[in-house]
Amino acid sequence: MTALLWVLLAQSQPNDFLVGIQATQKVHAEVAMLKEGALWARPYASKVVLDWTPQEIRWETLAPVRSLVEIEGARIAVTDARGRRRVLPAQSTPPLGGLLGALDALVALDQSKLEQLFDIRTDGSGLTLIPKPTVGMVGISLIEVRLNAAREIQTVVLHAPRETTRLTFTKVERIPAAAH
Amino acid sequence: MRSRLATLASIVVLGGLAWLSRFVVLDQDPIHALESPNPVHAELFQRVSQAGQGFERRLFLARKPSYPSLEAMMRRSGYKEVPLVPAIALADFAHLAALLDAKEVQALLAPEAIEERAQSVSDFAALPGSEAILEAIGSDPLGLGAAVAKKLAPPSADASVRAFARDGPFDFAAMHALHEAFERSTAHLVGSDLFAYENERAARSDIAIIGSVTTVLNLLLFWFVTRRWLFVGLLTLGSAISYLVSQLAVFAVFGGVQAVVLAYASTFLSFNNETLVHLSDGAHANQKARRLGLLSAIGTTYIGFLALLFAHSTVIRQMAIASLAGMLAFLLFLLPFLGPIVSAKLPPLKVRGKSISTMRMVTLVIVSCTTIAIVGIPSIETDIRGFRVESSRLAKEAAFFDARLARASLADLVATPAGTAPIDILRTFADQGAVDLSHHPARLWRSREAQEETLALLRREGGGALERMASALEAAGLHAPQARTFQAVEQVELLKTFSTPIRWFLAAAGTNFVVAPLAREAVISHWPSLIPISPRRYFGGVLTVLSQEMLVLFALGMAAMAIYLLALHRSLLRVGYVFTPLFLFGASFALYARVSGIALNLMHVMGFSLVIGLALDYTSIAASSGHSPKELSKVALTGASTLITFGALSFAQSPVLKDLGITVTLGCGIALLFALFFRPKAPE
Repeated sequence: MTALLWVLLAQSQPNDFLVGIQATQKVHAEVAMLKEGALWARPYASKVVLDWTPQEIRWETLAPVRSLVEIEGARIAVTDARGRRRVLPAQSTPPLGGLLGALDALVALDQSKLEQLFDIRTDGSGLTLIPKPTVGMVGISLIEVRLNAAREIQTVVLHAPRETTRLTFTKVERIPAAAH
Repeated sequence: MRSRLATLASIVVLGGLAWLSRFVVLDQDPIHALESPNPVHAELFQRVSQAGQGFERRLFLARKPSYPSLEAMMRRSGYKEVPLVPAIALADFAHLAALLDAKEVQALLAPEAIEERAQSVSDFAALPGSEAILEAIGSDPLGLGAAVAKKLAPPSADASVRAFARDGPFDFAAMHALHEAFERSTAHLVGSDLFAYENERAARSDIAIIGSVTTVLNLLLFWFVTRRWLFVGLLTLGSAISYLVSQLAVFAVFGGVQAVVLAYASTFLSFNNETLVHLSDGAHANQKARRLGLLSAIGTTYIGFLALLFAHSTVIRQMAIASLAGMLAFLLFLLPFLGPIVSAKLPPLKVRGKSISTMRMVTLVIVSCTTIAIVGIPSIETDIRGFRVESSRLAKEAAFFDARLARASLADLVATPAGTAPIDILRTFADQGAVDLSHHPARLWRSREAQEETLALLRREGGGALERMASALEAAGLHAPQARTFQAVEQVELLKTFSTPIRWFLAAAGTNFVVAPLAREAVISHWPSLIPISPRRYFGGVLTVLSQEMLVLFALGMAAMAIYLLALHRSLLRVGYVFTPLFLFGASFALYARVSGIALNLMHVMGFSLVIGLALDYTSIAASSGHSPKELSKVALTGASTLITFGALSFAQSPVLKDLGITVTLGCGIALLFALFFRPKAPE
């Protein structure tokens, strides 16, 4: 991992990869999430519908167990398969909060927000994001983002010490701010 | 021809020494060199500092107001952000479950609580980036560790404070830029490196300004009195050599030189002047009297510094070694030039002095002692703020951060021998109002009977609850947690578990110690077994002890001086005359201390030692020569040089040098006037 980081840091190309992407007002996408690593007895796969607005992220898991996570700023609420809704205890949210803040910037492809959170490297087909030490993003050492030809998010891979999470985006509908 | 060769050789030696001095390593902050004379206390403080409880090589920055440019500059200077309070894995507390109340455990094991916890597993599993939380649940499936931690959350400093640590060496230029940026900002920043920078900057300024003023004034004085370029040249060249030799000698002994000791080296001009003057004009009618004068002048100075070698303070020992090495180097340097020096004439000085009878001298001594008794002996107490440079801005910042640390019970820590029941010991101190256990892990302690009640419950119901949690974790695809057994907790085990940010239990010098914050209103001196381990109080205590030790050394030095002078003069009357100005100085210093409100510190006492080393010369030589105009001329010249040198030091930025300068100027001024204007009345 250290060697990988070193190589990535050595690629100090101009950070203009996201230049020209318009500000986003709304995103709707279907996401396939796959988690695997030492923490897991078997890979964890789920199907998710993601709705993003600047005010809120809705992360609705359709399978294997239905649930809905609503994120508004630092507040995270979960509704389970039986319809019970609860707000997560405050002490459990900071480790998540850092990453969900990053997810917010990633889905919006917001360059300025991403630059606040990460050291960004580009390699022609995507971005490699290394969390800044000051951001306090617990457990995430590296994020790889791949965009398709239309410069839309295709995959996001989160590397943690004992887990890798792969998010594959399909049917992404992005409404630019100007067109709204 | 011989003198020319010697001069050439001296210049070559000077060049070689200057080249060697490039390798000398400077220590910036005199505080860093302080070590308690009590080896147990010293090791304890060292262990505490090593455990990350100290402030070495760290900077602390408040989040607000935010200064990204200052932060960027810190990173460029080699500082990396580190956790202010290292995170504790909640699961590590699970083995302390016996310390939970049975009712609390009952609530955690209740079916609804387990169901809620199991549900949270699938909630978090569905989210990206939840590894840390899922791992925490897996390692503490029943939430027992989290409950222990929640019951006594480890004290954390204000969340608005960030810590930065330096790995590389101290870089004065980088710190200069950072300090400038800090001063222009309203940011809250503090750290040992900022103090180190301010002290080195002050030492550099003192070396440049005080050193230049001292050199120019001394050489001018020397030229006006002697009118001999030979003397001026010898003093200049010899002092440069003695300066470099002293630096290298200190470096050879200590492996580093305190910056403040370099600034102090400007005083060598005065010591060297004394040696040169007393060696000169040697065509004396009474060779015995001349030898007496010479041994009085040089011998007393050496005795003064030899006594200081026994001090525990590194700064004092460095100053003593520097002085001895510098004076010896100057003496050796003069050897090839002894012929012209001894034959050189100095203008005599005729002073219409007054005779002073033995009775009057005794009266003066009694009056001085009475004055001291009335005014009072200054208290012996040294605060680190009086020992090093600390700008008002940095002092404010230190107070700003101290307040935050105090809120989290991280400031003003004390240690005491732990024995076999450290928490019982702490509770006794707490009952007496000495320590504050409101944030201390000792608060968690429960009797063996109470622990057994909780353990019985865990044995009865823990297995079933764990099975339900294991099912939930496995359903989510996670590994099932391993079953664990719970046991009663010992006092030491409890204290060792809470090891961040403070190590509440640690071993030093073969003894176990328990640590706790001193209660806000407590006066530490009321409990001798409480050892301060927070930097300010520790260093303050060390400085006070060192000052007391220096007073003993001073007394011993004075006794040695009296014996030496008695052996030389073989006259109680003369020795009484020699010592009389010291009593006048004692009374004057007591008055000065009362008026200025200062406490007696280490450097004042070192100043006393220098006063006996330097000022006794004046009366001793005057008395031994029968106040001959030739010897009075030498006394006046060396005295004026001392007053110039230490008078200039009184204006130093460094409080260490300032205190030394004021003390020696006062003592030598009184002794010089006394030697010039009073002469002992021969017994009838």
